[in-house]
Amino acid sequence: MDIPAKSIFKTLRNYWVLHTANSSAAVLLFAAAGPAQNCDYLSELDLEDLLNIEVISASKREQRITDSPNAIFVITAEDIKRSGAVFVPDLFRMVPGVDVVHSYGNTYGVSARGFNDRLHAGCLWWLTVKTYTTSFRAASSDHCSQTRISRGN
Amino acid sequence: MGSYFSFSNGFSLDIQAHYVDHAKWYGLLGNVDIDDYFRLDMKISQRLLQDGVELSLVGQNLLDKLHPETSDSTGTYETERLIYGQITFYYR
Repeated sequence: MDIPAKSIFKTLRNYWVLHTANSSAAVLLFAAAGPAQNCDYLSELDLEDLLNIEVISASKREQRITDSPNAIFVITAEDIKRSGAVFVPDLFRMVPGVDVVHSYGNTYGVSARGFNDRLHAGCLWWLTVKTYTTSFRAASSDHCSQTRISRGN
Repeated sequence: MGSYFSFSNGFSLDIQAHYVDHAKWYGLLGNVDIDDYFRLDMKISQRLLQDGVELSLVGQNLLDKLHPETSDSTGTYETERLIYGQITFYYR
């Protein structure tokens, strides 16, 4: 079955590291593509097709999520739309093993390992977008069409 | 834990619930205990005009008017309940 997600990944171009961290710390990857895509097809996929969703975050090349060398959780465009999240960190509340705390305003702490904190520095954020000028913490979930989280590298 | 419902008339109801256990936060002003809490987020939306327009109403943190999620040296701030409406236009 042809999975349109493939074409989404082909549109991913520029990687900007917004927040670098000690390489031994937990690593969280975040990727988002430009315009929102219609992802109604996801509800029609059976389990096998869902396992065949392709990701590029782990090895920087397209591969099936089941072939990825680390645990990846995919938040689809459908999840983003239906979550109603205003800020990107709110999306991570649905990810198993990720701790999200809202400090105040647009300030969040997100941690995949160890103790969380406001402005937690144990994560690496990768943003893939077409036009993006704002900081991660203020990033609106409207700008995302897919998010991939990789816990622990 | 989450649940998505889509009805044939364009209405959809999306619910997400989270439970977060209690935690102790260490700050300069002493330790702060943050109680465990349930968080409930909900979105209802209705699509109109051949899916060209979507009206949505989103409620976040519906179970509490205010609750703290973290604490640090600058103080303990509480997360508020948030309710907002949204109109989305789709054009292809």
